[in-house]
Amino acid sequence: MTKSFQMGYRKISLLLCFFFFVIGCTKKKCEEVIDQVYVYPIEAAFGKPFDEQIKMFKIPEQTLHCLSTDALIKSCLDHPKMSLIWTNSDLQGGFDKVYAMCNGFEELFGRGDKFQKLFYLYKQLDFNRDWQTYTDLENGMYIDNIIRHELIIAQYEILNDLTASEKIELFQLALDNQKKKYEFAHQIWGTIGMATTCAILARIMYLDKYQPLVEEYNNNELMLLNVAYILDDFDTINKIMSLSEDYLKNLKNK
Amino acid sequence: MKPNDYIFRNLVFIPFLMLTAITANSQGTIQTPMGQTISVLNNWDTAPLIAAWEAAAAAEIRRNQWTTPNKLAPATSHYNCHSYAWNVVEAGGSLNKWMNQTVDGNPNLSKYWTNDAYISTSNTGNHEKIFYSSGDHSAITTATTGIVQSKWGYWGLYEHAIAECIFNSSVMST
Repeated sequence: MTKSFQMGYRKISLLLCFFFFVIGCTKKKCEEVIDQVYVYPIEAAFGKPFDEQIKMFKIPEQTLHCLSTDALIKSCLDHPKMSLIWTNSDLQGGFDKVYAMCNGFEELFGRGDKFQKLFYLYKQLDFNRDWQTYTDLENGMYIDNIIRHELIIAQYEILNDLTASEKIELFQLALDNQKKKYEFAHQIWGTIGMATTCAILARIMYLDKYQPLVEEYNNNELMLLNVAYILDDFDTINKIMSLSEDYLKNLKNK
Repeated sequence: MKPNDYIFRNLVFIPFLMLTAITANSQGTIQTPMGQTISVLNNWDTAPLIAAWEAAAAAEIRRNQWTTPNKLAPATSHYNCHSYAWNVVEAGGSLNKWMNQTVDGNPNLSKYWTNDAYISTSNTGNHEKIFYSSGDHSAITTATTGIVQSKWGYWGLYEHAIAECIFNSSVMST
C-alpha cells in the first residue's frame, strides 16, 4: 500500500515537472503584434567589419516573434545583405548564403500562414508594366524585387507545405508570369531572370513526381541544374514551360 | 583564410595550354587542359539586370568602406568566378561560360586539379589560381601580394585585397 502510494506520488511529481517544463518552454506571447517592417541599423553598421554587420542585422528575438507575417516577409526581402543572392554561382547557393545571415527566414518558414501571405504579395507584383517608361536601373531594381519574392517561394520549406488548391493556384500564376517574362526575355529578364519562376514550376513538378519532369531531371544535366541550383539555359526554360502546360492540365483534372 | 584555400600552379607549358586548355566545345561543355569535360552554361544579360547588379555591388563596397576593389569588367551572367579563374583568364578562354563547382554533388571544377594540369602548391606567385574550398569561389593572384582578381558572382570582375571582398573566410563559415 505504502509502496504503491510512493510510486503514484513519483509519477505525479514527474508529470508536474514535465508540465512546468513544457510551460517554461512555451514562447512568450506577444503583447502587441508588430505590423511595421523591421528597420535595420544600416547607418550604425556603416564601415563595420562584415561579420559585425551581420550580427547587427539580426532581428532581436522578441521583435522577430512579434512581427506579423506580412512585416516579417518584407523585413526578409529588405535585409541589407539580400543582394548577396547574386554573388554565388547559383541562386540557390545565394539564397542559402543570405538565409544564414538573416534570422527572419527561419522564423518565416515556421509560420503557418507563410504561403498565404507570400502568395498575396506575389500576386500584387505587376509583370505587365510599361518597361520603356523606366530607366534600366529602375527596371533592374523592380525585377530584382520580383526575383527575391520568387526565390523565397521556390524554397522547399514553402513548396512542401502547399495544399492541393494552393499548389494549383501558385502553379497557374507562376506559369502565367513565366509567359509574361518570356515575351521580354531578351530586353528585360535574361536567362537568369526567368530561372526563379522556372524553379517554382520545376520544383512543384519534381515534388509531385511528375514522370516527364523526373525523366528529364534524371537524364538532362541542365534540368537538374534548374531544379537543384536555380540555374537555367534557354532550352531548359522552353522545356519547363512545355512540361508545365501538360502538368497543369493533369493537375486540374485530378 | 589561407588554410582553407588551395593554390594551384600551372605545370603545363604555355604552348600546350594555348592549343588545348580552353578549347570551347559545343554548348554546355568545355575541356580541361587534359581533356576532361566541364559542364558550363551559356547565358545572356539584359541592361536592367546589369544596372541592378552594378548598383548593388557599388552599394556593398560603399557600405563596407572597402578601398581596394577596383572594377576591371562589368557585371554579367556570361561568366562567373570559376570560369574566370580557370577558363577566361587563359588566353582565348570563352567569355560566355558559366561554370559550377559541382553538378548534383559530382565534381566539376575540381577536374582541373584532379589528374590534370594543375597541382596544389604553398608558393604563391603571380597569376596562380586560388580556390576557396568553403566558399564556392575562385580567384587568381596578381604580382602584388594579398591582391587578387575575382569575379563576384553575377557582379563585376574586381581586383581587390583578399580581405576586402564578399567571399572572406568569416562569411564562408556562416
